[in-house]
Amino acid sequence: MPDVLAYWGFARARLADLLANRARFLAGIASYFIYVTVYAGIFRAIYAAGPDEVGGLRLQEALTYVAVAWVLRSMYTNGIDREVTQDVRRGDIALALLRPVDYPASRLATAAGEALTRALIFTLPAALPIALVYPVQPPASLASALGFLLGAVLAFGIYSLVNLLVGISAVFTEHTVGIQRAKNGMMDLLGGVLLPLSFFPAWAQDALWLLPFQAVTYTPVSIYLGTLPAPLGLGVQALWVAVLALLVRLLWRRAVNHLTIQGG
Amino acid sequence: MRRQLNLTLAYVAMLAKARMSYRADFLVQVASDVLLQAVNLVFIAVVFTRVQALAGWSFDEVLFIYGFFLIPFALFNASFAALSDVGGRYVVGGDLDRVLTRPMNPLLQVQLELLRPQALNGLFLGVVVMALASARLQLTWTPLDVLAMLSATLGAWLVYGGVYVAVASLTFWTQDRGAGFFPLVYNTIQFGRYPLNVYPVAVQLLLTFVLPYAFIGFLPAAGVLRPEYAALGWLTLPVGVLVFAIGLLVWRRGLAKYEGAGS
Repeated sequence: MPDVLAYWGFARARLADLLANRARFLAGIASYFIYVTVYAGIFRAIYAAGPDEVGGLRLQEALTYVAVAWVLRSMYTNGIDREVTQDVRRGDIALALLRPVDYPASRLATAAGEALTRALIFTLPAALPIALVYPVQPPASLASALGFLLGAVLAFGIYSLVNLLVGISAVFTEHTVGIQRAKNGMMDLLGGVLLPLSFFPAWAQDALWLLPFQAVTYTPVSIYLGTLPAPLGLGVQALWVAVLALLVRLLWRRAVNHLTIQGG
Repeated sequence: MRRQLNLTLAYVAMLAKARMSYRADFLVQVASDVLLQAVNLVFIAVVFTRVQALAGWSFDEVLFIYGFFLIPFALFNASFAALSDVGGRYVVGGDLDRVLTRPMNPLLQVQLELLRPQALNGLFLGVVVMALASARLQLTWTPLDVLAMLSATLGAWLVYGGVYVAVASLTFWTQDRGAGFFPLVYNTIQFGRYPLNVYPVAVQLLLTFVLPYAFIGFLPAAGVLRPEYAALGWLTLPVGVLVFAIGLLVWRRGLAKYEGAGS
């Protein structure tokens, strides 16, 4: 039990951090409104050009998709990739290894604290003006509402585990800025934040299903809309959490060995 | 004026040397910049697998607008974008005290210290995308068109500059808290990449008269594409000069209020 309390400490510290930065949060809320406005504008223009249905979605559903996708993104986003890279480059990671906690797990706990804080004081206030201005539909059913909530938690898990992989790779490459930016771009484009993956040509969709990115945004938002059965979507997400957790474990073990050699 | 020009060149040469000494970093930056823009290009391409035209603009026209947008955007990223550090580093951090002791325009000094010449690689991508779109559209370029694009590039760059100098100057009154506006004015740039008429009228008015980002990409590019936009395209330079003048005015007011970092 004291173990769990130790990780709760990491989560609580981040909560206090974020609360101290109110100006940034207000600007963030406005930024998400801007993102939704840009993409909703483009979606409206797509449907205005003719088709009643694109990629299985009607206009109302597509607008709901953009709103929910960006609101979800405001919750799971974190910077562990950058933070782990910093720890490696400054050598702070040596200190972290001395602590009686598992380093990747402590990083995940920190990120969980951030996600919890964001969900309460950032995602909800950001969702409010978006829901007022845009015709956002409620979840398709009670099952899809519950499925979406669970899917959001798993989305956070997948996003954070991918971030951990990028961060830990700093042990081998020292620089990860390039990988970070590439990953951010793929999360938004191939994950389905910018547009539903069903808008892609069929051959691209087949390839995108094999990547973890779709499980971060497209899958939970599809559960919300009822276009994907919750058990199937959640199953795919859970599978990716398991696979990525295993990869993080393996990469971390190799990284620790590599670090010891460097320290000589 | 001549002395300021010489000094500017000296700063740029020094920075270029410093950046090139980390060649790996430089290449990574270039590669990831290209990739980031590729994300937007793929987005546009996927959208146009579904429609023939977006708010009346064809794929090639949207590509042309996007290509032009990238050019002043690269100039901005290499220069004014870094003014977001002014609050923390110069006003609160006190670096401005050092700058003020020198017999040279303080804003110019601050800007020169913050130059990021490596961001200029975006120019290359912008020109390539624009040339490609221009070839597909079979545009015929008159000398007047070239002049319009050059003057609009300068105008668009000054629009960015005016906005960023003004927001940076807010920190004279608010300390670093004013820097909270930067993410907002930066994220709003997104609107400038696509045809303005895809957005609601309120947004269009906002982007024309309040935060005039209509001029950083869409209006000047549309001016070359379609005669009905030509006059608006030519307005880019005067608008840029006006916005920059407002920025300088706010800076001057703020600087008069500055009393040193305290200690």
